Amino acid sequence: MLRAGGVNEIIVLLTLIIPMAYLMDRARKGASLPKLKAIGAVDALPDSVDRAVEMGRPVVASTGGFAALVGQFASAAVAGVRLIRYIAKLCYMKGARFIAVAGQTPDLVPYIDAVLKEEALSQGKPESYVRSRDLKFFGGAYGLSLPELIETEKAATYVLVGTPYGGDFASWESANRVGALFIGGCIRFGVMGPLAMVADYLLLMDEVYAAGAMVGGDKEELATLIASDFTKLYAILLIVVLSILAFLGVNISGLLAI
Amino acid sequence: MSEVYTRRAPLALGTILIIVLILNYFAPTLPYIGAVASEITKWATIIALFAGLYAIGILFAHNIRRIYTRPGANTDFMAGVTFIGSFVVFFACLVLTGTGSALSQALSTHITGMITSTIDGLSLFYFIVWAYRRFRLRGIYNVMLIIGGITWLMKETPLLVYLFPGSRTAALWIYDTFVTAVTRGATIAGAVGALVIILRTIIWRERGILGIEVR
Repeated sequence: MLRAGGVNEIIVLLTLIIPMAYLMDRARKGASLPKLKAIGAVDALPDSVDRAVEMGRPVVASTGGFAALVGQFASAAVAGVRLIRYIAKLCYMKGARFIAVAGQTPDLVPYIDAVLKEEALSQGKPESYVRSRDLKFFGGAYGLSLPELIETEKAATYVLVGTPYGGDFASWESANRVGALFIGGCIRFGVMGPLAMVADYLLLMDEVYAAGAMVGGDKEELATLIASDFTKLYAILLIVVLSILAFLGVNISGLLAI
Repeated sequence: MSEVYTRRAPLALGTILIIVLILNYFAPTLPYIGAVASEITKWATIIALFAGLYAIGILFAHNIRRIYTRPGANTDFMAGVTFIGSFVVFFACLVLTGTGSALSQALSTHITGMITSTIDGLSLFYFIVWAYRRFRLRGIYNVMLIIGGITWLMKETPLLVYLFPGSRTAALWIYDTFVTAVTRGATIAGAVGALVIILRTIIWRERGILGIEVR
């Protein structure tokens, strides 16, 4: 009944689901959880908003030009919006102006709009968010309009977390020109190198996904994050064991096709 | 925290649909599962189109507001006029002559295509300036990147390959071993992170997409 290779894939899924269920149960009962490593970029977010308040300049955040709610980058877009939600909350709470930029496809516009509206309302400051002023969509002109926005608004902080692409590069220089603190995060391998060179604080690969759960501070969400380490350990174990077996002449493709 | 919106019905529906799609992936031979999954995928596209239409409505309203905001304010007047004007012209042409007509194709090629190419061209110059200005050695990431970059540059430059015959082999070895291994590791880490978000969404714990009302 199962597709070829399905058993192995289900085992991978179970290495995540079982620890997740166990750790979430512990969190619900108030028991202790393994400690998480602090991520510098996440810790810097409140300070970066304070900086914007002191300078009287806005915080600009984008999920990256390739962010969309469909396709392979959808989960990264969700993670990026999660951080946008958190930054918006901090900005509305502390009185900084917040400008969010959607990627090149319009499907994120209503999503980010709802998120910012919710946060402004939940902080008791609905006037903090004005859609026509604080939510930008540039479509195909994203690559040039985002740098222009950063420079004309003289952003104090620029956060780019999600799926940046080549068109995002120019905005990094604009952030540098106006002296903005730059927090960058990316799940795309090809962009990580350049981003690592220029970002003041950096989130790489699964840190992008982890950051969203960490800023929430909710123990059950943190439990889901910690559970993912078991899957990574399983992957490492599988790589080591299968490599040894392959060197011994065992047909590992046959094993993985179960 | 107070409840702002209630969206439990769509959440429940979403969870059921995702479970059906997972079942279709793992056990495609189950009776009716393929047909149901196919139908769900079609409906997902239709619903996504509605989200896109809503976004277009937002943009339309925003640009009309840009045009009609009181004089003297920073209204981005011309940007609004360009958006609405382009929309009217393109929409009229597409409706009157059809999407495959010579006029529609010409408008697409000679207006949108040329503007896009110009933007890409400008971006290229900007990227070169950016790359030059931001070039600096700071921390282990940058050192690694520059070593990799210089090695690759040596491979791609005929004169350097001639002067240092081993540089091409060294660059290819770095690419085929280190880079490939790191790419695989990064892919695994990223995939696990994405999987966690998906599972959190299924059990209504992903606040990024669900909002604050389900706490």
